Amino acid sequence: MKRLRFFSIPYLAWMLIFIAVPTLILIMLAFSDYSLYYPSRFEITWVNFQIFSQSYMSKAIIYSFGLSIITTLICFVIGYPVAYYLANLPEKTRKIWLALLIVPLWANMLLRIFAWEKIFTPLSIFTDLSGLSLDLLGTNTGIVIGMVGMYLPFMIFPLFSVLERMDYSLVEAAKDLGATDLNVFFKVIFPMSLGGIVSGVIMTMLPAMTSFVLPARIGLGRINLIGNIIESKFMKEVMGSGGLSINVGSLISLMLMLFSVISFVIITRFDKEGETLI
Amino acid sequence: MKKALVLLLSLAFVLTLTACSYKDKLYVLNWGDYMDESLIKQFEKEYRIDVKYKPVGSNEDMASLLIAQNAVYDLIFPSDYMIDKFIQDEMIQPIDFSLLTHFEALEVNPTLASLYADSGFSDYVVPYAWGTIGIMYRTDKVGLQDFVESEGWAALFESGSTYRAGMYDSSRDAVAAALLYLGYSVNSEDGDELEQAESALRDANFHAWGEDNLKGRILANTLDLALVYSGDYFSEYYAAIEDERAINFGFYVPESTNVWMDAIVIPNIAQNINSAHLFIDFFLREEVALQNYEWIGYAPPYITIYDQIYDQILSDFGGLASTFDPYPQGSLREMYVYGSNERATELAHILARVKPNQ
Amino acid sequence: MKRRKQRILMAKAMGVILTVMTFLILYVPILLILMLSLNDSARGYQWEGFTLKWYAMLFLDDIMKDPIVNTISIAILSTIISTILGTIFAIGIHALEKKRRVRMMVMNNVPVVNPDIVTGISLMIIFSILSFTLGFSTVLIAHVFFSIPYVILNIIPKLKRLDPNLYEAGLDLGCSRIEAVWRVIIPNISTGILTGALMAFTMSIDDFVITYFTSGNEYMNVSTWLYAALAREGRNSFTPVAYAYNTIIFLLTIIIIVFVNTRKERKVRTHEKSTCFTP
Repeated sequence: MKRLRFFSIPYLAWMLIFIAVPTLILIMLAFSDYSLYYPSRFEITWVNFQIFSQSYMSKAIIYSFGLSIITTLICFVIGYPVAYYLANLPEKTRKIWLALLIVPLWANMLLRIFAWEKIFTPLSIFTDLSGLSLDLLGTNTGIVIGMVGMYLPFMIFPLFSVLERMDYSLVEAAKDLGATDLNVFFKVIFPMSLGGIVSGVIMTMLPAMTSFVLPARIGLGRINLIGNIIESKFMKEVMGSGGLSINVGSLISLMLMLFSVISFVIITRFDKEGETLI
Repeated sequence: MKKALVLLLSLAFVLTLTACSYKDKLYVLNWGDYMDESLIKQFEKEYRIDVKYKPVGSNEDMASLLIAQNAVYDLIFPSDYMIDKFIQDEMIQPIDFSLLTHFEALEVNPTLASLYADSGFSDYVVPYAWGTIGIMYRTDKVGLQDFVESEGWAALFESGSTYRAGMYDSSRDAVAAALLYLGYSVNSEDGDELEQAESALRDANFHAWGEDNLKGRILANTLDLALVYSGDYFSEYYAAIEDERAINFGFYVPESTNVWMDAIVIPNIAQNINSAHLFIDFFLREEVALQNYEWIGYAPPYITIYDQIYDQILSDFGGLASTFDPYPQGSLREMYVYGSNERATELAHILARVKPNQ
Repeated sequence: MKRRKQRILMAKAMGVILTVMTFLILYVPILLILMLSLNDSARGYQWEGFTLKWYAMLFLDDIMKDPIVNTISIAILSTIISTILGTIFAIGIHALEKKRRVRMMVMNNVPVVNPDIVTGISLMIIFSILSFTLGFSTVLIAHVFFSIPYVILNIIPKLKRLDPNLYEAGLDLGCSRIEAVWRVIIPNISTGILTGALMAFTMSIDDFVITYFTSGNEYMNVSTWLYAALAREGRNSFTPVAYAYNTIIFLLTIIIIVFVNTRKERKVRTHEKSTCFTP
């Protein structure tokens, strides 16, 4: 098999072009006043960091972390028992239930967000059909419910895959040795599923934290997250800033990247090749 | 496996083939719902040119796409202040009026013509529509109509918890509305006035920030009143009649407001300049223009077309016609100017600061 | 003992309740989209009676034709390209010694963990530096880019389960290197390839953020089209045809999954035989 190594060389080149080079450019933009679109000057500067002294930026960071952490917690509290329950079903039914969890992801994300918008409108088609009247647009609760609806499967999949593969003879052994159910759970099952938990938490938290359509729609534009600020820097403020908003946007993107690298290092500690990521 | 692969590949191939029908293309960057699409189809058929229409949400988005220069745009429809900036930065080119055979006959409204001639736009623009900003509101909310009509802009800023108000998520419009509410010029560069505008926007605590979907939010009963462009109101009015929905919304233009103009311009990065002129000229044909302006709901800048549409609104909907005129006699409405980059950045910051994470 | 049984029963009940909740939160929006596709109202503010006209319009009217054609052709092309490339790369990565393999996998997982918005912006910037004109080709490259890692992630575990001697045996028995890959390795990792391809297809057909940042003047997929349409929600910009399209894609994918799953079970049994020496 060793002779097949050369198959991986083009991939290395590919990743250098599409991962390493853009990252270097993002770093260069973040730490300079070089304008991507009006290339004239280049000076290393910290001026882009001023964004972090703006109160709207710190608020966006706090909200992004706050809402995504709450979302992740809820996803975990719901997702862990569900993954455990599904993993212990007989094999045939287990497959069907798992497929049913994947299927909603095929519906268009934007339409699902739009559907949540209708659900959260007090007198809407949802009210006509279900008799329920919810008024959650523009609230944090609405955003969190929307996010849980979007990202819950990403919590369940990795948990399910570790719980399914787990060696249950260890559980039996612990029981035979007289451990209580709670002890079995916290001393045996939980530690063994840690890899899945880490992946699940990260795969839920990162997309929730960086989403920008969902907060803009369900939050009625009142709740700004980091993603909304990045979008504005790249799409709206370019002209007024003489192209420099791109640099600020790059800096914020870099910050997010740093955060995902940290999460990544954590995943790698549990699962070197990222098998629980899918 | 192989069979499936061949099948999929040929499907992809056929799909890409059907996607492009004519060789010549014309790239149009415009607001959504801002042209009757059946007319675009008619143009495509007649001239065998494939029109690629890309909708954008704001002038700022439009500018970003032009600056990035990573795609060709042959025609764009920016508003007054952005045209101002595009001319300053030499990003758009003069129109060749000799190619526009129908332009002369249509006769631009002289008030509008002098407004934009003063700003030095004349060589660069073919005016497309003009109007004002105003307040759209639900008529089925008790007391709301009286409140809006008696308070004007204050209704938007002082509705408190009684009514749910929506504001444009565009720095230019939001700050302009606040300046109008405070009685200042929409182009104010005075730091103190801008500061007051900022706190007015913050204190208003709007229920929603949106772009052109604000009117939809009023119809969906998520909002009770919002800042809305005049033409959007008419467009919704026509649509409601088409769909046979009850009309439960009204529109009010306060005494002091702005006047805006959107125009067709050709950016420097355009590549299909001849087709661009053909497209403009097509939309200046009297029967095309008439159908188009009836559809979009915005006031046409051409006297002949305007008069016909105005008369029709008057006979069909009566009182509605009073809000159709963007520049009634005796009014002192101001047009946005770009000002400086510093002001644009300041406006963007004000907007970011007043959209609260509560 | 009785208490313990009660506790187990309670735990089970909780599992059932939470599972029901999970499915509710996932399926309520989808059922609503289904109902909106059957609702006789252009705006969908209220339920106004049953109709199938949006489905008829989907096929007869070309109101959403371009975005749908674009979405499906990119999804098919990027799935094929990324599956082929991903399979080759995965075999190459698997053949590396452990340290370098782990390093490659770490790189591979960067786009998986990276937020979409950062990936989209990185790609936009690199295309801008290379002065590529944004459009069909840049969107295709972008989709291939974010799909490959998922294909690889699906294939590597299958490769690990493969007996390394099988490939050498193939060579010993007179297969060329490429032939041995094609006849020995590929059939044994085909389930991984298939799930990888399915995943690539899913990612592509539903992508919004990355397409949003890498598409230019011409290319629009259903998601970017919807984004623009919902930003305005006007007369011509949004149409319930979108609900009809979504419902049909949704049903089609369910059928594909069922089909793939039943096929997979049949295939597993026939595979053991397919090697070089039994043509």
